[in-house]
Amino acid sequence: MEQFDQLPSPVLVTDANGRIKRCNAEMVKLIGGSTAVWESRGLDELLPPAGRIFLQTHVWPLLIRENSVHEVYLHLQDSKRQRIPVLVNCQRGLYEGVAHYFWVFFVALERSRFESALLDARSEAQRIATELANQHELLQVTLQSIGDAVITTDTAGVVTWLNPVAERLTGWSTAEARGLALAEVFHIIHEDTRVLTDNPVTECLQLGHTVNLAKMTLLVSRDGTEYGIEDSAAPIRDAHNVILGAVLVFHDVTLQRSMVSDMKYRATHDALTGLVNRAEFETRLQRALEKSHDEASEHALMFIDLDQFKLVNDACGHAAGDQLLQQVARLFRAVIRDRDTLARLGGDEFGIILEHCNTEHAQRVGQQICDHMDDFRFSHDERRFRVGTSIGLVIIEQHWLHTEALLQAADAACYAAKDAGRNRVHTWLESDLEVKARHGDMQWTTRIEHALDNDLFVLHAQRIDNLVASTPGLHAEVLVRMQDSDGSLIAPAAFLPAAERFHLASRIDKWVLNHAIAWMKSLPTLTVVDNLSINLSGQSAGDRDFQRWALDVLKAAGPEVCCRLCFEVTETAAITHLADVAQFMAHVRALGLRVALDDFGAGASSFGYLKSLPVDYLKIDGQFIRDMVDDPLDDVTVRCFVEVARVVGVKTVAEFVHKPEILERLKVIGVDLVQGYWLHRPEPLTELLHQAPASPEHILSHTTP
Amino acid sequence: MTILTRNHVHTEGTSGPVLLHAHGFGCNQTMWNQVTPAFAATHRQVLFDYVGSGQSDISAFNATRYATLQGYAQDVLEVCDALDLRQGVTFVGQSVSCSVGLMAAIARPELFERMVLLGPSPCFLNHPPDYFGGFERDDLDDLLKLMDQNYMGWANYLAPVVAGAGNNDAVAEELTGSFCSTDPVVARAFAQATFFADNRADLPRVKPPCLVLQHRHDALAPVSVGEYMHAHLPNSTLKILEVAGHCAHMSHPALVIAAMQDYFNTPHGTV
Repeated sequence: MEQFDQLPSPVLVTDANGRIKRCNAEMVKLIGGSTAVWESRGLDELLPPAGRIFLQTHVWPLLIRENSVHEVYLHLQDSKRQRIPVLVNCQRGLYEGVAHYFWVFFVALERSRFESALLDARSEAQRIATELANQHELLQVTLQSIGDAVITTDTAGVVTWLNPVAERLTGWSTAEARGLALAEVFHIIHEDTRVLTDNPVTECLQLGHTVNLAKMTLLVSRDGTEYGIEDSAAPIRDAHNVILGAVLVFHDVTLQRSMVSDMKYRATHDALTGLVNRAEFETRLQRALEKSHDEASEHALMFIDLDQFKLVNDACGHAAGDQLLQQVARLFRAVIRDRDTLARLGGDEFGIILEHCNTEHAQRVGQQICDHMDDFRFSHDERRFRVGTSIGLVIIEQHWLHTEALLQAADAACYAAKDAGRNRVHTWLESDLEVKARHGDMQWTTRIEHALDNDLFVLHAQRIDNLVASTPGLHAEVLVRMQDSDGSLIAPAAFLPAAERFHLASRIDKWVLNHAIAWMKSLPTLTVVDNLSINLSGQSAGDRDFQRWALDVLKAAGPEVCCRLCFEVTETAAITHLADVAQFMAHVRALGLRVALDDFGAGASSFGYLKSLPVDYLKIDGQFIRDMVDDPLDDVTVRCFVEVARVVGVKTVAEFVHKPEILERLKVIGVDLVQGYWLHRPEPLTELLHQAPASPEHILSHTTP
Repeated sequence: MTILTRNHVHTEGTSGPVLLHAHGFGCNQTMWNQVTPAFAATHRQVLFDYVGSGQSDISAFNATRYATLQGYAQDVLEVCDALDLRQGVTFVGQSVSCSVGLMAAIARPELFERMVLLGPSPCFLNHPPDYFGGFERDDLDDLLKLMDQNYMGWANYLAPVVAGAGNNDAVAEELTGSFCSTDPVVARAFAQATFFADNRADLPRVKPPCLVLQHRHDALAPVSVGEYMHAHLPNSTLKILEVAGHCAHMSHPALVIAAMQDYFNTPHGTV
């Protein structure tokens, strides 16, 4: 009977009238009071009123008819009248030769009701127990009926008995296992390391008290099946407190564990890339910040933004975009250490936390990422995309008080990196002017709006020279400048990013188009102008309101103006809104305008869509022109573009022509038009007509060595 | 659909006075299985399931009709009519069926010769200071919740478990499908009708003589409630069974049979 007290679950034995005859230690632990108090009381007294009704109207009738009930949900009322939800199994068996009822309780938190697989396992154990009922004495009956696996050993740790659940989980029957060392039957390893775990029984026998098993234990059954288990071992003592052996109790938590770890994993990870998600990233950032305060240590935080992600996504579809993100995630992963955190923060934004890392090291890592990205090309349907990254770096150190400030700084640094020309690392510094300027974005909007309202923009232009045919009139690209309060001019690189971010780019485009048309109309004769190119921002090109407005303005300006205008749309903008832009291009071309695809090659390096875009000029991105005489790869790229343009019947324009060697090379390759500082430095549009039109001699003088 | 199908009516024996067995809340007519054999030779016995219980036709369940015990009493009378019973019926009810039977007897006093009431309670709620049914309104709300929680899993659980225990599948099917009420909506209605009923005022209006069989220790209907029944029924006999629980007809059928036979053999005229 000592062993009855040591049973691992709360157990009661009642007579047919529901009078409690036995009550084990676990039961007392659950409901309070003492064995003496409960024994001889009625089972009814353990239940709140509703439970009593249910017991009398449902449980007893079923029990009388069937000799057992399973998984009945009830509340127990402990000695302090607190309610404990339990699942009750009861079956009839013999106790001292007389029929009694054995009640086994499982404390049932609400969720455990839904862990049906676990319940199934218990029911199965109960089923076996039912068959064996009436053949066993009290202890055996109860041990057979409980849902936990039980193994008993002698003082040497040699197996003496297994209950049916233990037999199932270990794969050993009692007959086979009896006499074997426990370790042979109960083979347990650590879930992660897979190292053999110490047997709790050994320790329990040594220490003489209950020992709980380490978490994350796997039981490897005889046939190799692995079960996640939780267990404990308790010594068995006789009436004189002498240890007779140990009882090992364990249960299968494979399902719970996988559910818990799966749910935890899903809550903390990004499904697409398998990287940590934003929530978990912020948790880890908080931890890193706390660590920096506790240890006065330094860690690094990086924000990484992909530069051409949207382009790929729109040009190739979301599935390709997803592939890109996965590939990039792998690339980042390879650069950082295992203990560092790499997260996808959303969209094409990634975050990295480098633990115990100073500025210098972090910059190196950031640069490595940029270098890798520089070499990386995303391939899709034989198209290859260059994907740049902009990285904002902040060092996590003591002076930061909140993660919010850190995140803002990293974000700002990332924008600054982007502004500074993409594919670079920008390290946040308190004195950082660029970042401060970024924080002054709002100020920029005020200045831009002020400039729009007060006509403080100025139109400049850069001449475009035709290498193939001499044209009588002016051919130039219109460039916009903003006048500062002191009268100095601000380059578009300074205000256009802010204009784009705050959706003012279209207003600037409208201003430019209006003023360009007005200027043309103010000319005594339009024949002095051959072609005036006007840049449209991505926002305008894809915006239907802008398109409608532009078409109205152009119609009003008349065909004479229209046939002298050209819209320049960047390749990126065109692909981003391919259908809309293509339609708009067709409309403006119908009015007589020409269309140029600007910055060609910067993003997609793809020609497929040229078929669907009705353009007149291909403006090769300056980055290929700038160094083409020194870089054979750039040279071949340019030749390739020219070749393709010729095939599709589009004229090519090369910009960034800043030295004569380039011009020579472009002539050899067969580019149609050229522009650049070496040919013409931009100047106010109004000044342009006062000088002589493009001098063929100027160009031709370099055609002969 | 006939009443006999609707209420899954069974008759046993063809001659002798009629015993009409009515089951309690939570079960079905098979709860009388250990009692009926004792009367097989002497009585014609009728067993039935209330609509919503056992193997009755659940499509006949009407939430309005069965919201009060009156609807269940209607079942009793319709079963009698369907069998063309007009008089001499001995009503044998357990628990809530006692109140149902009394309502039927008030409606049709000529139909019933006498009533056997096992574990009756005219009202389960406390009405201090004069009456203590044993329960508060909150307790009954708790019961409804408890039922919901158990019915959710019961049908699924009991079938395989019971079947695996060596019984044949048909038995298991019958058990889980009907012995314990498993339809939450119907069970709620029956529970509400049962536990919110107050038939105390009806007791003095009952004409047929009644045998009140009171369990000694009954968590649902304590001895004081049995005594209240006895005191307020015009013609009643109180017999205390020395048992614990609420269903002596199942746990101690011999005691119930003996008490019934004693009663049937004793003349009990109108007081």
